[in-house]
Amino acid sequence: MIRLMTIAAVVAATFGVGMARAEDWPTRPVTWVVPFAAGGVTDTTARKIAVVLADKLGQSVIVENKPGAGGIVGTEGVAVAKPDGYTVLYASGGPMAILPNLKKGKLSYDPVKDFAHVQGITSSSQLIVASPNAPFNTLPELIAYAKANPGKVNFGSPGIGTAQHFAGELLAAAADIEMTHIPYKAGTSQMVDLMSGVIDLSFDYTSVIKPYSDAGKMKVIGATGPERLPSFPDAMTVVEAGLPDAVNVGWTSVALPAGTPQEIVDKLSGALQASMADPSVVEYFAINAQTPITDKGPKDMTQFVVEENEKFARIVTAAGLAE
Amino acid sequence: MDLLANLSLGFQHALTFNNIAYAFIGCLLGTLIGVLPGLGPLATIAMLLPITYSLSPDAALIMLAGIYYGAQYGGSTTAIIVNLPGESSSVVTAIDGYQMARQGRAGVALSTAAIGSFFAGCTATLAIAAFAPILSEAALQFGPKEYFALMILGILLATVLSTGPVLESLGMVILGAMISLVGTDVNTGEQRFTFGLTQLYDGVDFVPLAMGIFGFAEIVRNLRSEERSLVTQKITNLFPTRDDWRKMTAPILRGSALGTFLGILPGGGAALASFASYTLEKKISRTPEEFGHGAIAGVAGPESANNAAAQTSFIPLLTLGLPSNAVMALIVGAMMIHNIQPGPQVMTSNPGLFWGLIASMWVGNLMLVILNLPLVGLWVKLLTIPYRFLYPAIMMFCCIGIYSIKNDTFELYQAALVCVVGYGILQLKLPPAPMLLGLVLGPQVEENFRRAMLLSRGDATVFFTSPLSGTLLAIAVVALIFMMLPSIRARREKALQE
Repeated sequence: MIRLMTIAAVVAATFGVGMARAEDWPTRPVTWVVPFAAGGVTDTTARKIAVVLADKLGQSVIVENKPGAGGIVGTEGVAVAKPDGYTVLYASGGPMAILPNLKKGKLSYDPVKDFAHVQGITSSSQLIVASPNAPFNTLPELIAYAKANPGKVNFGSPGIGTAQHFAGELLAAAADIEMTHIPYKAGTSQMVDLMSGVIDLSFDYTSVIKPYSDAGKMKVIGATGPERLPSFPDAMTVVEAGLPDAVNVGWTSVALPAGTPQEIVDKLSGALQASMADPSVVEYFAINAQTPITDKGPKDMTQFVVEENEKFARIVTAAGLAE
Repeated sequence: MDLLANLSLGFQHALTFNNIAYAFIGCLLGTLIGVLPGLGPLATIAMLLPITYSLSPDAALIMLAGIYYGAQYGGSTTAIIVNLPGESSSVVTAIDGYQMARQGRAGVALSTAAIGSFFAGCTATLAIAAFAPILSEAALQFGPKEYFALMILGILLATVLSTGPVLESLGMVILGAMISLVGTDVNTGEQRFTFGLTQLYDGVDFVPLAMGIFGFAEIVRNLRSEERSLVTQKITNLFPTRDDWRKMTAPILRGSALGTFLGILPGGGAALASFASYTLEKKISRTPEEFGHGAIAGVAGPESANNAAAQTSFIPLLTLGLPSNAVMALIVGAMMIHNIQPGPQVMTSNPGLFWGLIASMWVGNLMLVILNLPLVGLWVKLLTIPYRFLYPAIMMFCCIGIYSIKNDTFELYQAALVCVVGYGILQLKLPPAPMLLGLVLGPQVEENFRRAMLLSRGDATVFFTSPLSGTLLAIAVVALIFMMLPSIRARREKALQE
């Protein structure tokens, strides 16, 4: 009896798969997994795009938050999801490039082999910010101060293995200075300690920093991107300071489980590109100082993920951070 | 007068028909959701966040804020009626509130909670309006070592909280702190006791643990006994008598003051405030033996404290852009989706929004009293429903609540396991409340201690040389001595008698 039911189930499953043709996708709502908690920048960006994307696909797009372990839990879930295009991942540098190298051999997914990378979404460089009373105002002054006072500079981050933490490690390695990393939990508690001068330095995105710097609660002394930020034209980049190895840019993208039919990948990529051109999304990107990376389609995005993984593998080895 | 001008601007915004309607919807939703065990404000706001995107920013914020303090109100209802605290801040309310309910005084306990919360809400609203900028500066005085000292003081105070022996509650705090060690080590990123399960990387969540013990284990224990009604004595008056009023006035005043201050500090302010208020009331009470057996001060103080703290926790959010708890973090998200960056500039760039929100808090508190006092009779009726009909509903709502935190069934398995352990704890008559406090404060003690040590490069004397943390630790030592005194005295008396 059980065998009979199994056979029936297999037949039904096969038939079912035969019914859903890739070119018809999507015929039902699409779930967009955001591996971070509701309310953060990643979540709000996804929700902003999802509204437009639903319009372009002609199906509703449901944003589902699956937070945990810096994005690993949600990413793992999508890696083993059915590759039928109905479970979409909002991927980002943390779970796709930094953590796989930091926790080498401990994650259940491979960021390159287990995913079909669909479309680049945003890239954001970070600002280097200092406590208002810090004895340095520019990037070269910071480096000079750190060299003159070895072991005195403390920098905070939202935790081990975050892009902000790596920004600090990269800068210390590139400038050959000594800085103590003070890890915090979540995105904001280090900001209080930075304002009150408990820590000297931090690295974070424009959307996080701008309210504080506008109010004079902290000072921006540099930027980690290759180019200056339009909203902070005075912040010298690490490249200008002669430290091209300290460039650190946070990125997000959309991925599907590996084995998803190519038609679906291409159709989703096209719909996302169209969504990102929508005025409401463009305005949101501008306000949060996120640079859209619309030009990174399925092929370029895969290549980019491979390169990012190679880069972080190097840093982890060089800084001796592997667990 | 700046304050009056600001407040009148605020009321102009809060008292538009639209915004009153949204404040009402928020308060109503919050109360309902808070009453359902297991569904807290966090889950509700997370679920409703998408709806607010189509509203204007001030309407969205006013509604979300309404849900937040509405749920605080509703949460104490379940704590009192069925001994199920949905949130860390109502754990304390359950202790004496539930005992009052069993004595047929559920109505009095609920009205006390509502009146205390209303008064505290008004105090906190005024405090926010008058002192927000100054108070946010006070929060800046708290660095890692000061937080460490504050948390130690909080934990020490919590051990005297339970009615049982001090050693037992201390043991339960430590057990809670040990459970909180599960997860990623903040300083090294190393995994502790996660057994390779990625769902444990962020540690054990409060809700599955609280629901496992106060929900599931409690149900198992209740079912073991004969079919019983939740009330052991006849339901007496619904509203406080003159004697009750006399007993609750001072605790409400003290609770409001304590909560207003502790709410400003980012990180667990509301929970700490309710625990601290309970301890304070018990210590200065002329009849400390009543605590744990239905003391009205044990409901009035903590309820006022947690409501005041819930409101002043908007101060770090609105003035520094710092969310002090997970709900506040969601509200940041709601502001961001409307292109408002929370931070020091909100007050000057969006004065209508800022003062409108503050004024709406007062409006919301008034609504909650109007909404809740007539409902008291209805909630009390719930107690007369036979338990065999009530518990499947409690179980179901607990499950929905637990699942909704992370959209993950793993949390449910966790609660099921906690149920087994929790049943043992209840059978051994150990106090579960201090364990939850240990779970909430444990990670903060550890993080702040290690952060302070990292900053001082391993020099432990910083905790005593800094004036603020030194004072707090000194108070902790004095509290410890006072805590030991009665037992020393009791032992001496016993020795003298022999």
